[in-house]
Amino acid sequence: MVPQSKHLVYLAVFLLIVIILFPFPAQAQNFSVSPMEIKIDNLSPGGEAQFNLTIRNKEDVNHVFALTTHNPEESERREGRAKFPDDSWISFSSRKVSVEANSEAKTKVTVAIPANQKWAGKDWEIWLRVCPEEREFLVVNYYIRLLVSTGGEVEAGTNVGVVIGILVGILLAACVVYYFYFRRKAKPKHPEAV
Amino acid sequence: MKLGIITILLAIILALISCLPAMAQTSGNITITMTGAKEFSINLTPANWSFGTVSPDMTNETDPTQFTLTIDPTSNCNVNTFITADDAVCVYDSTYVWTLSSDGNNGERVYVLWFKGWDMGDYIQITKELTEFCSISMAPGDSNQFGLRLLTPQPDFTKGGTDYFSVGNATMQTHVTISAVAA
Repeated sequence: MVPQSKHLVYLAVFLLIVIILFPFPAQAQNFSVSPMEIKIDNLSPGGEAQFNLTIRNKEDVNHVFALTTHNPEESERREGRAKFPDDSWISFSSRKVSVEANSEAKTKVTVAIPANQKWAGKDWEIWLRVCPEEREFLVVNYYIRLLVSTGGEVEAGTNVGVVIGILVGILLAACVVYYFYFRRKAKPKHPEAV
Repeated sequence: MKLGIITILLAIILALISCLPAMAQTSGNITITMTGAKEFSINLTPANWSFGTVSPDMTNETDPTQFTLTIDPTSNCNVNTFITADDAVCVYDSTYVWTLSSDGNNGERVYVLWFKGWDMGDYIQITKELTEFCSISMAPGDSNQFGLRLLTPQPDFTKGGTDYFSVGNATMQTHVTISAVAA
């Protein structure tokens, strides 16, 4: 009868051989991104919208991820969506996001449309790319669809409109007061008939 | 005097009218809809691969099931996948570069890369532009095995009837990228 300790030695040797012969296949960076699609509706030219992207690092080591934009071909875009006119209208709170091992990090994305009537009533699509900085032979990249629909009218900006309105009002009121009060007062009365 | 008061009131009304469009805009609602609050994840194995020692103007292929792409089952929508690759750079001398071919032909310091899914008939060229990896969108839990074919550049020089690269026994490094977007 073989002693139990001998069995344990055999088992250990067998496991060692198995581990050496069948190493775990290394996986390309294991991370995820959410949300996978963002739809912004009724964003008026002159206005801006913000949202957060979450990058989750599922590995035991820290990773840095780069954020960029990509204009997809027409065939890759959603039906009825045109090319986003200018990448510079999209900004990230940080172009590079460092995510610690087994944790997640958020980055803020801002979409700002210039105040021009020609950008009103449009439906655009652009992709946001998230890719790891440290790359092996095989690399995983994620694209997030960003669908932007603009509103019908240009947003002039509340403060500017109010200030201009008040200034015009004060100016008109001042003219009226000047004309009907001071100017009339200054006019000589008709001489009485002798 | 009455006329004066009326005119002042008119002026104030005019001023308010000019303010109205700007004030009205602030009440417009911007809707931000985020689809897929869960996860968006794909797994690619193995991350590293070596073609071993290669010679000029030679074709090298991996096993057609060498690499596996899997859509994480926790994803909550189908995914469109794309493949791209980069120029190959010499690890010891970054000025020595093999450019990735855009037309399927190799040349001096121009190499070609193809991929083939396990169920595909022909190899498809990989370029720096996004090329559809899987013709149909992949669902959570789906996986796809694929292999690569490499055609090395033509020789930098020939000596005594033998072709050589100018960086003998050097390591060239490139990256093949699989990208995913919500279908």
